[in-house]
Amino acid sequence: MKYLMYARSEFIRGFRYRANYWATVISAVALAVIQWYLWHAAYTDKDLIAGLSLDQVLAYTLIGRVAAGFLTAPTAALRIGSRVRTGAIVHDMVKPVDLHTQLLWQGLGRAGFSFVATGLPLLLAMAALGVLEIPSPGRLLLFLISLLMAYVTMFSTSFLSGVFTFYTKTAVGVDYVYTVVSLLSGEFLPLEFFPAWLRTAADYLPFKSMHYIPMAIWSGIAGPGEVVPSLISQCLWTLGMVAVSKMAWSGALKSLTVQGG
Amino acid sequence: MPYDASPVIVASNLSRYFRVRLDGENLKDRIKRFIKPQYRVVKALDGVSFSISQGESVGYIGLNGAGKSTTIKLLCGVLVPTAGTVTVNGLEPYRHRTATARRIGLMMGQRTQLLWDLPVHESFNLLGKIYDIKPDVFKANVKRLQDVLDIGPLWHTPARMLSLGQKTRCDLALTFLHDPSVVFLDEPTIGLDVLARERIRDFINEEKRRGVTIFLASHDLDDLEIVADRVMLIHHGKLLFDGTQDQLRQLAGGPLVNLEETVKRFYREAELG
Repeated sequence: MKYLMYARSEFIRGFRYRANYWATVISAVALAVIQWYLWHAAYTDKDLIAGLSLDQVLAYTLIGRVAAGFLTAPTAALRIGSRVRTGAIVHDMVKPVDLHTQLLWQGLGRAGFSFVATGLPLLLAMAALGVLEIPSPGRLLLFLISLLMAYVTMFSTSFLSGVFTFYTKTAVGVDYVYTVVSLLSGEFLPLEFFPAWLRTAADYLPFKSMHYIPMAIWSGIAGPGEVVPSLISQCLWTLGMVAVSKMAWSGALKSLTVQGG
Repeated sequence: MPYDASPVIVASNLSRYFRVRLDGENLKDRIKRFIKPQYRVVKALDGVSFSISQGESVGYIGLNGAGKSTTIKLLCGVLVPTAGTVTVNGLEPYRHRTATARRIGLMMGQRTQLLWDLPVHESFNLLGKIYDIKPDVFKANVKRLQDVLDIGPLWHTPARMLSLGQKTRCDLALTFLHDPSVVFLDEPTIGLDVLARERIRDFINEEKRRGVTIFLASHDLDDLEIVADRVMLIHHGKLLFDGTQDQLRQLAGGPLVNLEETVKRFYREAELG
């Protein structure tokens, strides 16, 4: 499996950046601590907010911090536009590989490093301190499946945006779009906290597959009856986004080779 | 040197035009053209025909912007021709990019393909897997390239710590790793010192003797003088000359004229029409 080598290269690349690693660890711990205090303050004299208990919201946001590095790793696919501008894309195009698949695996390598090096220690530390409870093995397994699909959806969205920058010639617009995406994905807040109209919008968009669904499965916000339907809708979005991003790429390739960028 | 009679690269009336969006002269013009863009057509390559046999080494020369890189991109399948046809190993590169990619190598002197943060050997391992090179072939090729280019001592050094000359040697080795039948070299000696250049030329000559077809685009005419059996000269997208170095000198006035003077004369005459 040649694409596995791409994942491996990116995985071992993580070990080259020591300062970057410690900065990531410190910020991950700091963000987790902030979340803990923030939600305790918010729940001082309330048992439920938007139908969610303190434990549920804490589990949702803290596992969100654990998974953050894993899920932001594929945003590097955004750089595809700049590879086109600088001409580095020529080297990619004269290799017997599919660039879409290559970037997917490279991102997976980065995500893997981030998970093993930062996410997992953070998770174990929080579990040892009793801050974060690990769910039943069944739910854990469904969470992992959901997280992997979240990665693929995230990757496809980034890749699609990257292809878009290739037409616009600048990535500035895409950065703004990303803020909206991370809000609608539930990265900052569980979707339950949204006003009804925004909640409805988020339900019909692919972004909740990128964060909300796995975290809701872990934290129990998704009740026993909701897990399977959520996973099915996530699976459909994942396949849909992969198909769309692959189609966009073959269109971009065509215009690249025909129009010369 | 006897060449395998079968042509590896055949270009016939190969042309590539680009559309360039025009900028306005003043604000009013710019606004007008922002709303309704106007274009100018640049003929980067204009009806070029040639045929290159297996094992031949061709020096491709032209001024900046003459169409050298465009030609290489057309031959590698990175660009689709506007008109005319091209085949490499019997395939149209842009239609069969992956199949073409397996049998060609491309090195751009200005752009490394080494994995920047990782030790040199990781780049070789990666390409070994990408090209599905059999383990014993991989081992033998690595050994040979390490010896010829003296990159064994660099094997565990991260690419970003290499000097330009070391990086170029590693890049060249990567380009030849999968035993390509044709190799395109776009200014491989750019920015290198005299000794490094000599080493690179020796290496290219060595690969030439092993039967690899070499397509070398360079500004350094010394490179061509030593490496290329045949010279092609393009100017404003048109092929001005295609023949041996001796023929080129003959045209310019005799066997003793140096290549640089010959080439300069060609350009001047072409400018005068």
